[in-house]
Order: sequence, then structure tokens, then C-alpha cells
Amino acid sequence: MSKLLSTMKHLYVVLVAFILVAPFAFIFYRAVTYRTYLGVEFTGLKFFYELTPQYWSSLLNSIIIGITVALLDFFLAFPVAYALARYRFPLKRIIGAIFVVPMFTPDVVAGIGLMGVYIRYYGLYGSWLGTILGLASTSYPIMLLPLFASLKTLDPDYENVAKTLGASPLRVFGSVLIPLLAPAIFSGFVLTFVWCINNYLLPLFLTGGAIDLLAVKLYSDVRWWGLLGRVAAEASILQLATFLAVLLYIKMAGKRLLVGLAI
Amino acid sequence: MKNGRDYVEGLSLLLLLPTLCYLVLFWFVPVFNIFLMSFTEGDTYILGKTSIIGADNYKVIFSDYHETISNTVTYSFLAALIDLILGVPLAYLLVRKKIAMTTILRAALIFPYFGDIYVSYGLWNMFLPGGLFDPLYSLMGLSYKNFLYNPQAVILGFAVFTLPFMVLYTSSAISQIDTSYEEVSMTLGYPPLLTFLRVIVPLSISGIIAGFIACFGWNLGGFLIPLLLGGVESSNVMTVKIVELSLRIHNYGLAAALSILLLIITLISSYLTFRITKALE
Repeated sequence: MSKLLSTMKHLYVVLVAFILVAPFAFIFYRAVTYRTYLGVEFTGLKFFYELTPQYWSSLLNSIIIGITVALLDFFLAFPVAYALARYRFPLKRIIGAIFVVPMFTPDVVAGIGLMGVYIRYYGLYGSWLGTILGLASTSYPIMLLPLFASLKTLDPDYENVAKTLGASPLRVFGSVLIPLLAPAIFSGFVLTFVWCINNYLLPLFLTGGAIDLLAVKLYSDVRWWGLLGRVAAEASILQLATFLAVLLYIKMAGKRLLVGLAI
Repeated sequence: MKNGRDYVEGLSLLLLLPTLCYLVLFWFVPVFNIFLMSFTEGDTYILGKTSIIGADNYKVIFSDYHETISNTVTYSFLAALIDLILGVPLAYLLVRKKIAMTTILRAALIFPYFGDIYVSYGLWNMFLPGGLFDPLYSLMGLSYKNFLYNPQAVILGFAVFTLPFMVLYTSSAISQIDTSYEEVSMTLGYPPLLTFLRVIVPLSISGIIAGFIACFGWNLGGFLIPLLLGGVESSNVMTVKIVELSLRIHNYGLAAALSILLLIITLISSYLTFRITKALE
């Protein structure tokens, strides 16, 4: 009985691990193979050489936007996380919920709304600034949650001691809070970066194709040329960039891997 | 702290203010804008010569798009149900470290943050001829059309996409349960499976429900999954229709009305998650 249960358990874990990992792994496989009527043929890096220089410049654009948005997210999220974790004020729950709500807004809805105001009032349509500000609006709660979770477990005495010893608020922020919160800041940074470079829907609405971003290009290629090996190669490069960021994250976060990921 | 009464600490408002301004400009104003747009005709609002047609867009939605709405809700709900069945045992095994590969599986929980592009593209390629299931197709005399381009494919895609969220929410609830509960239950003669079903599940039920609702909410926003896996026949869900109506047909009024409906459903589900998990407290 217990042997059967143990076998079932292992089968189940292997099944779930397969479900989670297979779609990602299969894209890599697709990028290095070619299917003919005679069978599957290994093509090596052939499809990667087919990528145009425009593709690489769009990868660079994506990375620049991702880093900028992650930085902006930090400055948007940190004060809120600090206020929610350290101070008390009425309606705190509702105010907290309001600050997290953009994360749950479907990208399509945020896209339509931002597109409307960008075109009619802000004049940001198709601009870099508009894309960065728009992406930050849906991604800063991803930074907020790990920061809040870490601040909550951090003893306020560290800050109080620093204050008592005469440190200015800026000094407390720079020399006490930032080093102590480094893992949370870093994990928030990686998550928002990953979220941004893979987001295709918001830039699709906000830029109208004026800025070359890899995720948008990938989306349209997947839609129209989905069966080509070149598209799989494109996807695997963006995926590789994402995985590298996550690997860094796992390395840095260590045991605190999943702190604050769930709301 | 001083006493149990709520009081405002001055600095807290100062800290919230910049982000609040940003939130108003880039979330509340756009959402209110969608609301206004939903009462205008076609692309007139975007072009700046607004022509108001009242609630006509909503009438069109409830007469012509009720199938779209019910499809969206059904697919998301069924996918969340699959997540529930697959995810809860995994969360338990992960938290109690009863299996190998814990690190890999925990790292895999970040996958939803990658967006739905890889899950949909990967699954699509796996099911197409030349994918992983070729031997299965020839063995059972099926074709890929039995698996792709139908509602089941969309539901499967959604389930794969949000499974990590289910595991995340549930594992944070399970990790708060003292191990002694399980030990007592085992000592008193309950087999492990019954212990899981009758001790762990009831004790972590709030996390499980929160995970279920969160998965449902995330599924509602999935776009490329129904588009690729559902094909032409089964991609009749709200996100796909909104993109089609706005970017392709330029009927922004109708798209806005549909967006408002989608937003309301998502907000209700995220509010429930928020209430149940007691987040940010």
C-alpha cells in the first residue's frame, strides 16, 4: 500500500515537473531541429544565424526598457511598502488594495485605457517615455510585494538606532535599509525586469509598432510565421535572457526564494 | 504602539503621495477613460470628435457577445479547477520537502512572471505534427486536430500557465501549519493520504481558495493562449475579442465596453483574493 502510494507520488511529481518545464524546453528543441518528411534533422545554430541585425537591436531596446522600468518601479514601490509596513493610518487595508490593483488589471484593459489617454491627452503615444511609464504602472506591485514582506520581518530598531545616533532619513535609507533589504530589492528588480521584457500586449497598444521591442516582434512572428525555425530561435533567445535573469535571482535570493511572490 | 485606536502618522501620507499621483494618472484616469469611451461610437473618441451613443455598446455586448463572456468565464474556471487538483498536493510535498528536485520545482514557480508567450508557443509546437506527441498520434490513430483548436486545448493552456500560482498561494498557507498536526494524525492511525485530505486541506483551505480565485483571475487576462491553442474556432474569449475590436477593426467603443466588463470580473476576483489572504497586513 505505502509502496504503491510512493510510486504514485513520484509519478505525480514527474508529471507536474514535466507539465511545467516541457513548453519551455520544447522551444529550445524546436530552435535547433528541422522536421522533414524523412524525420527530424538536427540543424545546430542554423536558425540563429538567420536572425537579422534589426532583431538584435530590438533585444537591446527591450533590455534598456526593462532596466529603466525596474528602476522606476523601485522608486514607486519603496515609499508605499515602507508606509504600509511601518505606519498606521485609517483604511489601511483598502489603501493597500488600491496600490496593488494595477497588477491584476489584464494587459488588454490597461492597454486600451492608456492608449486612449496617451492619444487624447498626454501626447505620449508611440514614445519611449510613454512605454516606460505604462509598463511601470502595471509592474510596480510586483516590486511592492517582496519589499513589503521583507520590511515587515525587519526589526524597526535598526532604523530607530540609526535615527537616535543622528542619521538623516536619507542616510538611514541609504546605509541601513538598502543593505538590509538587498535580497528583496534584487528579487523585485529581477521579477519586474522579466515581466517587462516579456510583455507584448502593453507595448503593442502603446507604441503601435513605433519602437522595436523583442516581445512585440516575437508575438507578431509567432502569430504569422509560427512554424518557422527562425521564430523558435527568436523565442529561445528572449527566453535565455529571461532564464539568465532568473538564475541570478535564485543565486542571490538563496533561501528567501519565494518571499512575497504571492500577494 | 500607543493604543489600539487608528491614527494617522504624518509622514505616511507624504510617502504615499508620489506613487498615488502616479497611480491616478496612469491607472484611474485610463480606466475612467475606458468607461467614457464605452459610451461613444466606434473610433470617434480616440480621434477626438466624440459622438455619444449612450448604452448601445453594452446592448450589443449582451446580445452578440454573451457567448464570448460565458466562454471566458468557463475556460478560466475549469482551468483553475485543474490547477486546484494538480497544485495542492504539489504544494504540500514542496513545503514538507518530501520529494527530490525541490529547488528546480520552486524555481519553476516563477514561470507565470514570464507571461503567456512561451507556454502558448511551446504547447502549440508540442501538439502540432512533429512535436512531442507524434508517437501517440500514430499509436492511437488520432490527429493533432483532436488536441488542438478546441476548448480543451485552451483550458489546458490556461491550467499550465497558472499552475505555479496555485502552488505559491497554497504553499504559503501550508507552511504555516505546525507539523505536529500531521504527526498526531499519523500516530492515531490515519494513512498519509487521509491525513492530507482531512487534516492539511481543511487547515489550509483559505490559501487554497485564494489560489483558486487568483488563478481564475489570471486566466481571464490570458491572450496568446486562446489565440494559438484555440485557433479560429475556440478563441472566442474576451481578451482576443478586445484586441481584435480595437487594434484591427478600430471599434474602440465596443472594445471599451467589453474591457469594462472584463475589468469588473477581474477586480471582483482580485478583491476576494485580497480579502482571503489578508495581504499587506
